[in-house]
Amino acid sequence: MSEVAGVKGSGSRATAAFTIDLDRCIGCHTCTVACQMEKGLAPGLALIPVQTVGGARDVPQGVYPALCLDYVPRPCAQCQSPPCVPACPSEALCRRDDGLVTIDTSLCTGCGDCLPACPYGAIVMDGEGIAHKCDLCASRLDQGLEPACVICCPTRALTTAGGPATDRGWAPSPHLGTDPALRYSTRDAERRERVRSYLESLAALPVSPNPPA
Amino acid sequence: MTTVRTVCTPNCCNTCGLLARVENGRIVKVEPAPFPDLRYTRICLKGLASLERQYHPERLMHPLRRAGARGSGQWDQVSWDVALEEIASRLKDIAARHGARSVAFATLTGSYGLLASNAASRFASVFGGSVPTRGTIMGDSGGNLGMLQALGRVTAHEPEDWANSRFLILWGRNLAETYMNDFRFVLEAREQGARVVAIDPRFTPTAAQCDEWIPIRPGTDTALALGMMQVIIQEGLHDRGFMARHTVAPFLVRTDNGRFLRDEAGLPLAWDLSTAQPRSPGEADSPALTGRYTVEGMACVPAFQKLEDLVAAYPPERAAAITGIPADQIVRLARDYAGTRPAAILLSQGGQRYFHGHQFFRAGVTLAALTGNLGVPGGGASSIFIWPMHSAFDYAGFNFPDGKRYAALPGMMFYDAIAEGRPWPVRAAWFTGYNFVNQAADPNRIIQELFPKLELIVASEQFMTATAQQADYVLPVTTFYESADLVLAYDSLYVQLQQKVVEPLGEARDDVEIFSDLARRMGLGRYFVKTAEEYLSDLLGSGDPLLEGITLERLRREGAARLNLPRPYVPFAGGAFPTASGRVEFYSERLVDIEQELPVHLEPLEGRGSALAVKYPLTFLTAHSRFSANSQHYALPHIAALCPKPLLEISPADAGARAIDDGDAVEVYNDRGRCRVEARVTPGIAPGVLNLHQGWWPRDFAAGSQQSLTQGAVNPDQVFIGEANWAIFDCAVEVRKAEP
Repeated sequence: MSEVAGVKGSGSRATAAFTIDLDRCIGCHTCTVACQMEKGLAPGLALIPVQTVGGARDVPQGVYPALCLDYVPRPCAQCQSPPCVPACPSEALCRRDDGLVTIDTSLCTGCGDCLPACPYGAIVMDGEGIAHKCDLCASRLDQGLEPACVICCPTRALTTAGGPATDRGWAPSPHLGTDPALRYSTRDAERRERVRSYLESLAALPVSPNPPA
Repeated sequence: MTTVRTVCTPNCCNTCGLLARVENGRIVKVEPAPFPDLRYTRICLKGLASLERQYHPERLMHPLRRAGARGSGQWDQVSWDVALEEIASRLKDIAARHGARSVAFATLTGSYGLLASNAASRFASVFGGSVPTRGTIMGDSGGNLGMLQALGRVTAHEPEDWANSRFLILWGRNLAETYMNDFRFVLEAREQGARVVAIDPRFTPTAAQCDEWIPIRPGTDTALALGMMQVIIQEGLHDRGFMARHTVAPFLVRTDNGRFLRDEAGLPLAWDLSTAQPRSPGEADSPALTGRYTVEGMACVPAFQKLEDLVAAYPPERAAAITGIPADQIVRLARDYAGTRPAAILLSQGGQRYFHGHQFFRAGVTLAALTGNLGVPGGGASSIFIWPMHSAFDYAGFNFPDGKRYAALPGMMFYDAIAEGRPWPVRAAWFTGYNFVNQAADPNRIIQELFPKLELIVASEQFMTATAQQADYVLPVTTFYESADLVLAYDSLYVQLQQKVVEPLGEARDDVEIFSDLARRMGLGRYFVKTAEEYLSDLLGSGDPLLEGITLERLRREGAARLNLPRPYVPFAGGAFPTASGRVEFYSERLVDIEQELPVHLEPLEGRGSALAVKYPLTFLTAHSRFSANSQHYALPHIAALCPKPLLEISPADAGARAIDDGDAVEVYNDRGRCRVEARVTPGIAPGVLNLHQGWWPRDFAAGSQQSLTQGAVNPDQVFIGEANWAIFDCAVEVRKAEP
């Protein structure tokens, strides 16, 4: 795999998106904190929360000693048909030509309409009523830099090399019909099923304003 | 905006390089700093959150002098002049009455900077004081005692070499939390087809990314290794050639006294099967590994036969009964390990934190020797310490100016030295980089029994820790963003320069400044005349070829430089071992006196079958988590939002038997103390075992803390070998639902 030195390689992309290697994710939350530092977000306000499949942090599933433990970083899925964009009455949310779904927080009025519009629960509201979401560090990408979480990930589980432009990985809950660009990958078929069904169980729930960290 | 490369120095071994971005004299952001090999360009959530430590509202800014009783929280802010003048005068007085040796300068790993972690020792040397040894009082040196015995050196394969392994045993090594930036090399090995097995009483985030998890009863790792060896030898899977050439396996052992049979010149002998005569092991055409021989009337057996006899007592069924691992799983593990080359064993700190923890590393090394996995890429039985890193620097020049030497107090004797004056009385203590009360055994004893006997306690600190709270003087010390230093990793071979990024906050001073100033006030100023950078140049100027060309100037330019060694670093390449025999000494003549000539399994002090276990049947672990390097990070807001409180991990079986539900307030207790905490019922911990992550502060608990339960017993066998290690995890407790 290619190495990250903070500067993106020359490969062009049709649509920017994460591919997240679940077999490399160790649930360390470094991506969460890297994002918070980059975006100046308050503690607890996570644009890329890392969840443990099953809910409680670090608690494995199964019966001792036949256990499994899966971590799922959950950034914005970067939908190609993003329902949050039309839901925003003030045009703070937009889908750029390169496919990135971004938010201009200076235009956010805090109406909160985007939160339930997102079936992935990826938009969060800060204490001052401003909505935030992962935009893959669009401003960094524009400077040729990788997202903050990508350059900080200790195991290089996060890459921006994938997305729908490649065949790697699979999209979370595609039945929601928003055509997410986000991809997860794993070599373990059972893990894939566990994570898929966990994500689908979340999608069936009412959206909470801030997904559990 | 300026950017300065520095290093994250708290004790987590990865010592990530950091790029700090500064605006108007304030650090606004940190990023991973580039390494010559980009695989080492890295950071983690703690390094990212380190800005919150740097600018934390509770950072200590000024020297403080105690104004009320110890621990009362009443302080007077004083000037450096007043604080150091008074401390100097009290040190002189204590030295005059009890001898300078009665002042202990205890430094631990709050910072990996060479100056930060050795300035107090240099002062101790010229003052004539004591320095408690570090590796043992932190519980990190038990395994090393055993490894040193067997290999002549405590060392490890360079992490990037793990990727060359075809089979890895992570033996209690929770890399994904404690060496999270090195875990990638294990993942790469696995992606290339290696099988990875985690042996651990806990289903850790590491185990989650392994092919197999083998839960083990705490403190029985040596028994598992013996059981594996029994299978390997019985099935003939061992590497006879390696054992014959590179270990003491062919050395004849006298049955009368357990010593090696030696010729007139004192050299050991083997039995040469080709001539049916004793002969030098290196010259014998066909040295016997097994059998029983008589040489000039003396009955002897090859050392390998002794090992075979020992492991014969550990067939899989017996190893299973001891370890709690099913016998067929032990057999399969043994076959997989012996049948896949190269195979690596990564030995853990956890497994050696029992009363007889030194035996675990000896057993691990013996397994690796038995399968010919020593000295080969992708193999090894690795400690967490990579040896060349620490041998190359001129520590002696810094720590022992003009040949003056502090008195090294065996770490675990620190308690007795204060309480009973053994091996000598300690009457004053100065803590630097060491939150002793928070992190050491039995804080109730420390505060109630030991500290009242100390006439003076000084803490150089950044925060009002549980240790600083008990001090008479608290001196504000700089962070790694505020001073220059050299930083080594424990895992990799890179030397990095910690550069000053911003001016110290408040009146904080670095350790060299503090002790230089104090030395001047005590007539010892001539030993502290250099600047920090001059000392760093001296440390690099050891003349060791490993450091040739690595200068401060180069480090300023490049940030990080790798020692001059071929890569990957593979210790004992070619089968050269720095022991007396030049071979792996899995059999130790020296340890015959304590009946540990071989790595025998010995039950934990407070384990099953001990008298205590009747009353306290659970083993209490205090593992390290990803959220804090020891006691430094839990309180940082972005970390606290992710991990807000300590949780006691308990299995559904143990919880059910005590009517404890997830989320209940529970009390963990034994005769030493108690700790009130919230229960986390999880299948991810073996029945009979509890875990509460170490590093939390007493204020995080309704009562007590994790250390209230731990013990500091000294193992005389370890004293015989070298010195005793803190058996942190050898700790029996019981738990009950807390009274509301």
